[in-house]
Amino acid sequence: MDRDPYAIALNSALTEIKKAYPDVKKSFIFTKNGTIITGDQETDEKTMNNILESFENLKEKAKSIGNLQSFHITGKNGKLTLSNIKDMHLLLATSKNADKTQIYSITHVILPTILKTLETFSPTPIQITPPKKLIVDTLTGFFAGDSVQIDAEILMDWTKNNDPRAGVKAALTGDQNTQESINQVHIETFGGNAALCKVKEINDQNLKGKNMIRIPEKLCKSLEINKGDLVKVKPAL
Amino acid sequence: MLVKNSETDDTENDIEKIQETLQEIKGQEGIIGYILRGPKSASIDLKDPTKIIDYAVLSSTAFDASRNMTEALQMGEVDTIVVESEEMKLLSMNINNHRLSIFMEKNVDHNTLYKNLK
Repeated sequence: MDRDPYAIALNSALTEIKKAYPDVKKSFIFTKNGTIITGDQETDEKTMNNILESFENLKEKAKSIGNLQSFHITGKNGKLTLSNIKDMHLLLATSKNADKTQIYSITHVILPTILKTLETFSPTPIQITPPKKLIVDTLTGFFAGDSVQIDAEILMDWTKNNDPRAGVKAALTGDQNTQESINQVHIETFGGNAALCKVKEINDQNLKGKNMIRIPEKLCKSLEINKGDLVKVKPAL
Repeated sequence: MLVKNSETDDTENDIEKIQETLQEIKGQEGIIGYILRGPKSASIDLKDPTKIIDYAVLSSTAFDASRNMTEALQMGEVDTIVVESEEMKLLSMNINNHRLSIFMEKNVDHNTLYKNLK
């Protein structure tokens, strides 16, 4: 899950909604490309990913009746509502007796208003950068250092000025939203290990443009990854 | 054994009743069709037969996705499922060990259909 100011703002919104509407039991928000932005603390990431996978499958099959707008399940012990809000999806799990008007006001009034407000902080429509999947190459030797190396093009794409979250962060912290180069990245392995580390451009000409991340051997060991493995990498704001 | 036969007869009668109700529903404005799938057989009635495979896949996926989600969130057995697109709607439910999916235009009140069927 993203821990940037945008995600934190949405997380606070979900927490407040839960306080105001006790019928709301669980909730989380994810983008149309399947990136989880935030969710309540009681729902673990594995559960969210399971739900997301089922939903993505359904969304694909639902193309036969047009673009999916919402999905509702009534179960014996509760209701589940999945709604489209701008470029995102909101999942709400409520008690069985939850008031329809309340759910409607959350999905059609409260959260769209919050998203619109957050958008006013950023110059472009909010679009969370999904993590990039890169192939691991190990950096060995005396000069390996402690920085990872990534293609210059990827780093350019991630330039903070292109990420509207930076606008939100700037607005929340009062900083100037000036263009900055990426100097740290967040690496996550498929085994669940993660690390934040400094980043540089790949300096070996032969390895450029190969969707690769060169990681110092020591860091590879602590992340429990080997050469050729895939890792998820995203810029750290 | 007799009791079992009697239960089977009851279920068959119930399904016949559902099929009668479905025929009535099929005639209503905005109804595109339905798929009723039992353990051994299925009846499909759709306005556009070329959509049979797509709609059957969607119906099956809706049931599977719902089961996965309700299990993950501990919401108990699935009662009804509603999938809404920009123009259409799908109402799915389990009735007497049969999976029913009704396809309709978006303006149709699916709650009324549900009440008629349950």
